[in-house]
Amino acid sequence: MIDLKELSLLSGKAAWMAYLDIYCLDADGALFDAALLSAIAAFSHLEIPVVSLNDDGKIVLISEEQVTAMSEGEPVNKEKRKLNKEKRKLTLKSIPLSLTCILHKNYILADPTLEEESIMETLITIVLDSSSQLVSLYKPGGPVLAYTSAIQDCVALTRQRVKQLQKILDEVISGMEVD
Amino acid sequence: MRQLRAQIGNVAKADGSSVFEMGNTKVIAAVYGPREVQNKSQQISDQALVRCEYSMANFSTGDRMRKLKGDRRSTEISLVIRQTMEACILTHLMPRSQIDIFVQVLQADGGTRSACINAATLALADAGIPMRDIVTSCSAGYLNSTPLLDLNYTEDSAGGPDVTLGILPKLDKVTLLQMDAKLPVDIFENVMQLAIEGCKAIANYIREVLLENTNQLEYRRGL
Repeated sequence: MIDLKELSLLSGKAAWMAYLDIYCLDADGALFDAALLSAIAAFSHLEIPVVSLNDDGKIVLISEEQVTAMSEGEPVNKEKRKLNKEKRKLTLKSIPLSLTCILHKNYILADPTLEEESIMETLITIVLDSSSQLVSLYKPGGPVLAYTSAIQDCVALTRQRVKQLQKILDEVISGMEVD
Repeated sequence: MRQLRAQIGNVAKADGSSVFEMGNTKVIAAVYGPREVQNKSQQISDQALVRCEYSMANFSTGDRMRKLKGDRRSTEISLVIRQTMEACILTHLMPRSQIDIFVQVLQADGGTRSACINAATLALADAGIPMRDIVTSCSAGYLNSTPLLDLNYTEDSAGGPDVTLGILPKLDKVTLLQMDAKLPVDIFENVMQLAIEGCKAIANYIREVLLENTNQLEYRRGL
């Protein structure tokens, strides 16, 4: 999803390190889905300041003040311009979104709550990306064997879910841009 | 005093929970109890055992910090919050049981101790645990010859004294008083008076929130 080259500053010398911390505040089933969605939302919101490497090899923030200081002889009592803190966003391609389904007897239940997860026989988590390509499929053992038909049903459910989630994400992101 | 915002009942699984914001400081508290004591050797035969855990999220401060849970500052603040709440919970009504208070700081901008105590009070009220009175807490300081109420991180790191006060507002009793740095006694009295007023203002807000919550519950029950 992320092109790591976007995080590099000077090839072979300096790069950004991105830390992702996911905290679960209230667990009510399908934690993986929620965690993945929040991680993607966080990366969509991420804004990296524009910096450059100065002669001492130190990283400096490029800001309006510096620009005025560099052009000599400018009178200090200029009308104060808004400090332009350049920030750039990461370009995210093929965003992965997931759906967890639980299998119980011959029923498939999508997006279980904690109570439902406690009675399940096994679960399947499917991650698809925005071009409907399969990114990951996770079925952690369990006493039940899933028929291939069940897995295909889950994939179809995930496809629907991905469309919904994508819509919600787009709404929220465009809502933020307006601010 | 910074803007206050509070919500109750955020964590569905906990018996009581709340999110409390003072300005940019945001804290979430969850209360479990009264329930059976997990470590039988710590059981008290005539009282409830109160346990408290304070932790800060990695992303809560400006620079991401990687502190282990058992570091000294967390242990100290956990102890402080526990003792403060223990003073007001009617523990003799729940012998041989345990009450757990978990407080997590999501955003730290000064006054985390106070926000934690306020959040814990709301969570305990949400859990229906009997208390003598609500506990409210507020921090105050003294910078540039002015007493300040509810310091944020910048004001706190300016090097002036930082007084944290916790009171039981209706009973007018002080349960927590902590201060670092030096302060002449007469100025201290002013600062403490300011903190008391801050605490009372928070108490009014907390009561409003609890009342609103009760109205909501009544409405949902169809009373």
